[in-house]
Amino acid sequence: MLKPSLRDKKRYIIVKIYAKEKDEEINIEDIISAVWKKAYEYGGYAYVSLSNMNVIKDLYFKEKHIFVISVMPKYVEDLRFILMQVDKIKSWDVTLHVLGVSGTIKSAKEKYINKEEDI
Amino acid sequence: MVNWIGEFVMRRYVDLMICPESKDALRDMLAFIDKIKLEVMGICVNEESAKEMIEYMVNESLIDRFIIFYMIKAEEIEEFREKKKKFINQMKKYKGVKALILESRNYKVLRYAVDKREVDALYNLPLSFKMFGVDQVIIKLCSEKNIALIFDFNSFKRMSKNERVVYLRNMRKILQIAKKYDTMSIAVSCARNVMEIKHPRDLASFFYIVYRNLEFSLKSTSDNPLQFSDFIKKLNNSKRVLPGLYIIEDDSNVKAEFKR
Repeated sequence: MLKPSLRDKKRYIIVKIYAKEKDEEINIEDIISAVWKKAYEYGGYAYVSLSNMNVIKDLYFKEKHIFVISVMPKYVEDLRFILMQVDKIKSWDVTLHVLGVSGTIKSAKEKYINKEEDI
Repeated sequence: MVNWIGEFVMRRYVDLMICPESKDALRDMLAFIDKIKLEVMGICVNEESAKEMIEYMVNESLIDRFIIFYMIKAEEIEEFREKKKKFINQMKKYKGVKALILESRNYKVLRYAVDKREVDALYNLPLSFKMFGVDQVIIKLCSEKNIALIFDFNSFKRMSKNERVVYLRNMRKILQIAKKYDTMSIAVSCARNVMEIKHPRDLASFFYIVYRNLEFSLKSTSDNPLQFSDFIKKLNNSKRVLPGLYIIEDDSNVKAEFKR
């Protein structure tokens, strides 16, 4: 394992999904494919690899419709733009809003995720 | 220290306008806006939807809550004049109708409108030209006459890939000049339905990806929309007849006079 000083710095972007309710559920895999599709469209393979973008599977809160993406600090604004363009996940018409950007998962939970109510 | 934290927390991000396609859409959007506590300054109406939408807003007493922007599309100067007459009629009828927005592909129309200050904002400038066609003169005049440049994210989203490339290329150049002359440039969502509503802070990234200046981008959804709406509200007094036309009162008589 790399020393902490050698690891890439990360920012955690907390994203909320707003959609009209439907019978079928959204899985984290559907979210990943929708976000990555737009990311490839925006910057190609180079952007996705350089930004170190990663949708964290363990941090998907189904009841709250919140998920978390980690990315390098330099590319936070680009990722915001990509997320704005996502309008469909599976058969759901959705709109994604960024609740906030955090430096650690702990503070992300304290500041944003725990404050949000279940849908 | 307290001031700094206060300023940081209190900073408002504003979406200047939404553009609902029907009454039902407007109702849904307003409910959504209240639910997630977004700040929206105004509602934009087209020539076709104007009558229906304005009457609905008057009945629901939404006129006082929002500024109503009236958008027209014109390719010739005469067409612009004719369409402006419709706006004037609406303005006389309802006091809530405050601002005129112009979308045009013709340089002459834009120049005419800006020169004589007959509009309050220009809409989607980069869309208007195949090549970079708007010059620094228009943008400088916009700055002098407090005319805003409005860039719509959702119309960008509906474009084809090739159009997007041209749009962003022209937009970058326009923003570069706008920053030089300190022209108000505003990013808006112009959402037609609930699913097109975006958070104003996210909209700032629309400017960031072309101009790579975060401070300038944040201004497009925090300071500039507020300045622009204040400017519109100031103009909407009894002395303002049209964009660019005011009444100056004397003790003896009341005269109408052009003041540009």
